[in-house]
Amino acid sequence: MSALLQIEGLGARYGDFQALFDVSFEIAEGELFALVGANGAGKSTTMQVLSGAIRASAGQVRFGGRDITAMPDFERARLGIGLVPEGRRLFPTLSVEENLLVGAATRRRGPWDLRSVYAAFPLLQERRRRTAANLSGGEQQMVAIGRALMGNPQLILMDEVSLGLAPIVVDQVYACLPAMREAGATVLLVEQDLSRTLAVADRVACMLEGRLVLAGSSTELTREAVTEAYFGVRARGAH
Amino acid sequence: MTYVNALVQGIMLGGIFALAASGLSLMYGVMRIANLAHGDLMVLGAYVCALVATSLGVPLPLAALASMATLGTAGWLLQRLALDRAMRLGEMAPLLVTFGLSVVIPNVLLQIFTNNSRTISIGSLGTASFRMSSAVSVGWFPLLTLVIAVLVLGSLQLFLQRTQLGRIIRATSDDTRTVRLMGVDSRMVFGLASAASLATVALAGSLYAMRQGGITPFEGQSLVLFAFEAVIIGGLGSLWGTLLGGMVLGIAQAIGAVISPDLPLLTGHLVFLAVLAARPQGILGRRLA
Repeated sequence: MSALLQIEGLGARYGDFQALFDVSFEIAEGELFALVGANGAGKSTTMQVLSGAIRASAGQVRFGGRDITAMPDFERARLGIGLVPEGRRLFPTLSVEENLLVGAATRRRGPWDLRSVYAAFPLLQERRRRTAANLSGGEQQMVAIGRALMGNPQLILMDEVSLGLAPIVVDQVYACLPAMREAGATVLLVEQDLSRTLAVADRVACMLEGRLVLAGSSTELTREAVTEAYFGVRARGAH
Repeated sequence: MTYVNALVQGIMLGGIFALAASGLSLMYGVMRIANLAHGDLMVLGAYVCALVATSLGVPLPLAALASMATLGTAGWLLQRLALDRAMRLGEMAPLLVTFGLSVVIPNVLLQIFTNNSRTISIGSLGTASFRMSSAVSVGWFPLLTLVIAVLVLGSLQLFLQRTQLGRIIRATSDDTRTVRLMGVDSRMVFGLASAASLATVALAGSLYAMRQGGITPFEGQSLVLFAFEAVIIGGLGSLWGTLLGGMVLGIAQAIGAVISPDLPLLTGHLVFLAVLAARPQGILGRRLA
């Protein structure tokens, strides 16, 4: 497997505040890679740098071998990086179906269109005429994922998709992952929920205070090791 | 019967107001820019139309189209060269850009064309009319402008509702940052919306000048007020609302004129105030969030 996304020495700052320090990792094609960490660890900042919403202050991002560090956000979307943004950010006055159709504005060809998205989320077909503002949180999250899929991304960034949802609803949202992966998408997942992440991810990396502190395959990493990295507690003898 | 007549005349006058207001509504809806130069751009559109018609000897409908193309291009350039940068500085900056334009345009027109009325003659069409009844007589030209207004607003509405580009424009209006993540260059959308806005403005200005028989440099300052009133009466973000708002304003002015020739402007403003007080979101507007 070749690396689809390569991040090297990435830094990011908000004014005087440095949010990311020297973050490096790679994601192979077809992989499901998860970033975990507490609030403010730099997970969402990493996502924003990758989607192009904020510029990296240091380091390099390569996508499919191409340096995209300075590329504007909308060109990255056309190149095949799709984002399911934190807080969903649907277009509130547009209907469910219209939100999905706007997702196709990347004009990329691929397995995802209205029909396949509705097949993955049958509930959305029932709600397709409804205005996005009048959906439940779980339904909104499905639209946000469907909208990103409509752009037929090679790499899909999913930022805190379970945030604020009831566990049973999170299960429904996560149910789309196998179909996405079967269709060939590479996924970068950002989550706070450890056990759910370890269950679905191929590899997991943990962030703490803007740095990547632990990375490994989800089968190798023990829950204890991740928990310690998560809270910044160094296990005695570990280093 | 005089009131029935006023109603009919008001509806037709409202067509022009609605057409003028649709461009304003579009620009505010997509870019959140209240274009203070809107009326002056209408006047500019009328001058371009008059100039093309008289100096090139082109028939008036073609001259109006040429004016639409000219101002549409100007709208694209205005957005890309000035408003884009201003929007990055905050909400106040684009407002000041349009305010600056509203000062520059009429004064430049004054320098070049003097304060005399620039005539646009539509010949016998200006006075041709037919009788609906003994008291109600309908002018062919006002009726034509109403039909044009309904067609333009209707197709604009259909375009926004039914086409992919229309959906993208509405999504951009909802959330500019997010629509960029779908591969949309929002600056292109803004340029397009600005071009469409100024093209309708040019049409509205040309029709207004033809209706009046001519145009003077400073007329835009009352026109911008009518356009704002029509948008707000109808409700922001709804083009059918804008059409309705234009008609309500037209009817108010026409009924004011029946009572006394001094009254039309005042009754128009009073109806506007009444709507603002009773239903601030406008007649067809959504509830303000």
